[in-house]
Amino acid sequence: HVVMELDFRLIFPEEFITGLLDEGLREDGRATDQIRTTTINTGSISSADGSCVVRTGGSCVTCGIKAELGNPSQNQPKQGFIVCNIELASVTSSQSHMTTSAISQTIYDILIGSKYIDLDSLCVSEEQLCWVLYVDVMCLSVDGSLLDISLLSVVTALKDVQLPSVNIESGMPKVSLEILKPLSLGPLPTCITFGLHNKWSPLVDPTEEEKALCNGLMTISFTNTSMIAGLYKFGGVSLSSDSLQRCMKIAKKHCTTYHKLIESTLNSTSI
Amino acid sequence: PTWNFIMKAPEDTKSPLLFVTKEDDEDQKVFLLSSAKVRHDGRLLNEIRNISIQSDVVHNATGSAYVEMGGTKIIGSVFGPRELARGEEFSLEGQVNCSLKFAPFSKKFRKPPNQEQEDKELSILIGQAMKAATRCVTFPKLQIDINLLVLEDCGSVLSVAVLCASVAMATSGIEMRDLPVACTVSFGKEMFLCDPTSQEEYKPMDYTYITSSTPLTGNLTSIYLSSLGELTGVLQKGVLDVMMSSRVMEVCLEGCLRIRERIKTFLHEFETERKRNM
Repeated sequence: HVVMELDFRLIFPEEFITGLLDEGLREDGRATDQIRTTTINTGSISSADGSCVVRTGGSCVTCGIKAELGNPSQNQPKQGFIVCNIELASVTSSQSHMTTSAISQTIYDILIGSKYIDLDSLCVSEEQLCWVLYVDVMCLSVDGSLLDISLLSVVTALKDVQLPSVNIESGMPKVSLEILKPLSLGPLPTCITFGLHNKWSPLVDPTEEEKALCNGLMTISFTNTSMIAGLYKFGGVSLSSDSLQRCMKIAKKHCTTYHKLIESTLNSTSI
Repeated sequence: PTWNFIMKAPEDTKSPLLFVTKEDDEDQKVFLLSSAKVRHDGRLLNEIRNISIQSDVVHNATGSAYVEMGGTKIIGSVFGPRELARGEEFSLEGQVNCSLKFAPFSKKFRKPPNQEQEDKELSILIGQAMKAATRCVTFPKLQIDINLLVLEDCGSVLSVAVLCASVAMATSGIEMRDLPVACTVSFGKEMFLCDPTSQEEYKPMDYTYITSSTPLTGNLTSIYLSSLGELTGVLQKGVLDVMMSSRVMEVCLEGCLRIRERIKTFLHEFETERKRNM
């Protein structure tokens, strides 16, 4: 009867997963408030100034950062720039519920709003020269939680960035590769996504199939200083405020797990 | 490109590497061959780099592969056979579409999203080579999509991309006539380097600091169907002395055979693993 189970899973995937969720069970054996195991690696791409690969379940993203020099804008002469871009389609050939530009914007908002990135620190010389960080996240494999691991890869890759020192001599920038300095970064933000449904309790870190069965999504972001750095709720499922408080507690717990994971990854690579 | 409308950034930014003092620029210190005929990474003239292959890396893909050859890292996925894209004509032979992309951070100088010439050139070449090796009659009126993403370019991207596409196709179960393998050889006067790194590769375009002292005059890549003994693709850039051409081609095909051995070992392990898990 093991063979029959596999056949049912193949022919009626939605019914299979729905049947399990109606009983409060998930296919991989997780509880509804559990995240999957995540692995992080930094520095694997030497052509990038900072890089990070994050894997969780069947999802995998790679973030690469290139730093370039440019002119500050007239409105903000003392600030540099950070440009976030998520690339979904090339290898995964998939369509996602949340468009990639929406994810890019969310990540940018969380990075700036949480004060993780201080755009003033990216300025080299007021009105003349500033750093422009191009942050590109390539999604290699998608199985849910795209926003969560994209943000995770971006914040970790930013910790991996080392910028050379730049001086201005007779109007031209002069770069020395001898002295490399990391970015000055603020409180570390990570986020957790919940799949919402009118019958089931919120599913933490839904897989792609679980997401397809849900009626809405909610993402909550916490920094490592216990501040909420973003709350996004999309979809028509209404949520009681008790439910929301519960979700916030769960999100905080898992964000802390992510923060610790980032810390241990960076400590092990610096040895 | 959509990102321009979301994120405001200055229009022409420049890599800090363009402003580095001469002493710091390490590429100028790279020597191609020592007097003992050893290359800057310790290899011999006709030695290929170490290859690392993994498959089944993309969720929901029919077949996928992640390949590292030296520092060059490419991930590829195969989807299909599936319905033709709208507007395409039905054909009794299936279609094979290939799309190769360089990640913006894959090269020493950032590749902006609107610069796609190299992407398209390689996509077409690899697509045609894979089509020649696939039994397209087995999926009429359908198409196969091969997607390749270059995560890091440390030389010989075309060869590694063909390797990646081949492994992805091999593990996807789509019927093939043979597995294409490719090898790049860069050459100069009386010299050739098999499987060049990015410092050893000849590039007629791009970089603003092409060292005029380089002895390299060009490079040649062959895409070869080794079991059938057929060449399905050749790309040669620069100038090649006719007297040297047969020797260079020989070295190229030898490299192809060595890569093919590596694929065979991998597929054998993959199949053993698969049988064990059944």
